[in-house]
Amino acid sequence: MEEKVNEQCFDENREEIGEEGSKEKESWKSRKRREKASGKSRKDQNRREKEVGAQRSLLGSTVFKILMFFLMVISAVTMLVSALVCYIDIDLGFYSDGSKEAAMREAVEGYSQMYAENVREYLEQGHPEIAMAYLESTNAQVQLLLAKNQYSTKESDIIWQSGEVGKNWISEDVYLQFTKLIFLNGSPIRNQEDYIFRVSYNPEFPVKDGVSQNYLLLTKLYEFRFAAIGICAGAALLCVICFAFLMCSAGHKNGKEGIVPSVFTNMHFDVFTFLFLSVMWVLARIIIEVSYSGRALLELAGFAVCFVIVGTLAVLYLMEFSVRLKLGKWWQNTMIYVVIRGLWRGLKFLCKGLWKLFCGAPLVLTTLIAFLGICILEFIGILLFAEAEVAVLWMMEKAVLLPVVLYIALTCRKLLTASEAMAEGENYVVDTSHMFGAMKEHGENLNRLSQGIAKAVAERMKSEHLKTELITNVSHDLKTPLTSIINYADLICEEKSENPRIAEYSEVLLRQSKRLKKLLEDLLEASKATTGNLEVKLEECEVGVLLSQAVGEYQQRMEEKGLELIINQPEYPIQIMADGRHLWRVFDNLLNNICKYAQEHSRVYLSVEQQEKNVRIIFRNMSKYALNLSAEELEERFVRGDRSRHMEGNGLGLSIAKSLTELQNGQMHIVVDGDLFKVILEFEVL
Amino acid sequence: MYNILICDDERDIVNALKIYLNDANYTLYEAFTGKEALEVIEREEIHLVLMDIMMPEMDGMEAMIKIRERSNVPVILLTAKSEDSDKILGLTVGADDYITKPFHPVEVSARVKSQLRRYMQLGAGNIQPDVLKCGGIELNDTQKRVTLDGEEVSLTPTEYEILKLLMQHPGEVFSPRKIYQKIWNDLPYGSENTVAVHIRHLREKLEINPAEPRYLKVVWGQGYKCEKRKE
Repeated sequence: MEEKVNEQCFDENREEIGEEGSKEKESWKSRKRREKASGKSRKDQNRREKEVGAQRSLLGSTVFKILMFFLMVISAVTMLVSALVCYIDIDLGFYSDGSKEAAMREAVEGYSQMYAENVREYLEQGHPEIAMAYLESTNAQVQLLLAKNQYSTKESDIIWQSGEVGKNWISEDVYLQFTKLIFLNGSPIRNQEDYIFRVSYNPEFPVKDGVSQNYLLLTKLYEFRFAAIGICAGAALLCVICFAFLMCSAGHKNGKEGIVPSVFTNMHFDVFTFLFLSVMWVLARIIIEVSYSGRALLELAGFAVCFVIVGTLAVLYLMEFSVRLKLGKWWQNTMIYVVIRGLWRGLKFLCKGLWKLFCGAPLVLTTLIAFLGICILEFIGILLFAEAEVAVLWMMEKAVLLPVVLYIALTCRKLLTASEAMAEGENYVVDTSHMFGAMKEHGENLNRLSQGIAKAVAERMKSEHLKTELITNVSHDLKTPLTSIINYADLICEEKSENPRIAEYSEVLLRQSKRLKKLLEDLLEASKATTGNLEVKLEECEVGVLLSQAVGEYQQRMEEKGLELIINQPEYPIQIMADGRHLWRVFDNLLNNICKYAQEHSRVYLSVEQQEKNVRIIFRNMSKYALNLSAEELEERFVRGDRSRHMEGNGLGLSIAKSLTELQNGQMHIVVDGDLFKVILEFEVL
Repeated sequence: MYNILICDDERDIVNALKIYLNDANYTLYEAFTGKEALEVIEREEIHLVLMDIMMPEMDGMEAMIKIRERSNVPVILLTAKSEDSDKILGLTVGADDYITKPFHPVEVSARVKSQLRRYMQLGAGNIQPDVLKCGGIELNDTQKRVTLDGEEVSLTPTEYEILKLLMQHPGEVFSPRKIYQKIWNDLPYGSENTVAVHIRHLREKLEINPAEPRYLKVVWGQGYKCEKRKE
């Protein structure tokens, strides 16, 4: 409980502390506190996660962002002002001159001259009393000395003084000459001679005038000379922290995952930058206009407003940039990038097109162009570097070379056309009468190759034809006598004979001849399927429909055997490319096998499963007999699950099914797992 | 009394067929080549021809084309050629039925009977309104009666409805789903199998060899259709 309270307190504190801009410090503190509070329990972890969430929410909070922004502006202004103070202090030499006197000297600068000149005028007019009265209204007193007595401290050297001067007064000497001869306190004051007007100031400044005001300001500046540095540094730090926070928080929004693009993110970045810069330029113009208006207050106000606007815009601009940086690949969202990419693509396309054009052009033309190109390059080279004799030789060489190159290109084209025609399967003969050397040999080889292929194809066709012929003929020649055998066996069976043995024998005869018939049919089908001598018309087939049709055909037979058929198939229709009749034959064979070999009163599963691009039709049943054969053996011809061969069937069913499935671009696998017999048909989904 | 011509180059087969078709109603004629068959047809009034295709002198196809030039007599081809292309060729050239060797004797006699009935009894073929016809099947919707080669077949109401639907649109393939929707007026949720079972029963009742239907064809992987026949 205590921990919880602590946490809450901490959460409440967060805002205030956050405002001070020392968030990181706080999180470090909280971590420490947490470690103190408890071990590394799961609760603690949960809380930590919450904490992270809270931090995120701080980053995403708009109010907090605005707060941080104002804080930044204020700290920036503070920084600037204090920097100005520092600058003035440096200018006045307050840092090097470590006394308050310096401030005083600065304060009185210019005033001494004025006082001295005014006093001289009054003295020249012969009214020292007016001069004294004039000085009464200031904080200064004036002593008059001969210039040569500047460093004298004797009282007697002072010719005239307006009043008493204190020990700690600060004095400044002004050199002046009198314009005419006057007498002061009885002694003559000559012109043509340098005099010093020593103006001394009362450090208490009893009279409020310009000097005292100056002095006050300067003393302030002087006193704050070190504080200004500190404030400046602190404000700068705060400003940087706020700025960093704003940059970090840019793009985060409460209640939304990840980085949220701003309104401007769709704009190209360089366009955005241009807009930003032009706004800045307009603002700069306004500032310049205002600053020439001549009225200080207006200037200051205008300057402040512009500063704030410019600062705001700059920060927003940088935040936008930060969002783009966080989103990644910001350079792709620039006009320049788009233009360059477009140009690059265009160039690539153009180059490709040219290359294709070059490649697509006839061989002779290509060669000619290449040859002429080389000639032109060489010609330029000769013009630049070689002499006339060489040029003549070169021309002769080219004149000889051109027909040779053209001849080679022509021959190559002939050979190319021939090989292309052969690749297409045409019977093509290359004319080698005008060829020489290796080319002639190549052409003759091509001719021989073409003859060989033609021969092989013809032989292959012949053998295919023979095979088909054989199958049909054998089938006919076998079927005709078999028909007679079956029919007469049937007739004998129906004949009433006194000898019971004859009935029994004829029964056997009929049964076996019927088996022979089935065997013959299957054998023919198997041989046709394996040699691919079957017409396959692939069309769209719906697996579900075929399945229900198969069920319809076999339900009665299954019920008779006590087999329960269970069908699993997806609700949506699955289309495959298959020849419906052949596929049905496959189903027929497999279901027939199930009826023959499945354990009576067991369940048979027919399922359709879609696996991405393939559909699997799976037949599953429990075998009546122990399957002591491997799946591979079962796929072979004349193999049956029961070795004893006491069952009907001839072992061709699975082989036919496999061949037919493969003819329809499908696959058939057999899986034997103990007594579980599984056949998987796999087809590609349309 | 029907006159039937049996034509095969294999004497044993002709003899066997003669034994099977030994019926008081049938008078049997035999021929061993296509030529002989044509001669017999010239001479006698034949009501049905059972003919092999592969025969010396003149093969079955040629003989059949010749027969079709002058007569409309039903011809059943009886052959060892079991390729689909052979069947299609035979039926297009003008055969009425096609039996592959080795055949089942009962099937032969059933098909002979069917063809004879259609030829002799229902030859007029004037179609009454409300009567749908497809080969030997006639469906009279006013009487709710179905006949196969003139003999009444008893169907359950569902089977009747399915048959009617298929016969109303000969040549059109109906998927089990569509049939279910039309007959049961309901959406099938895996009950398409029922349709398949009903159609299997229909075929058992209407076809001589349900595995090789003549009228109610199975389009594997797509649906069912009633064969479109030009009469």
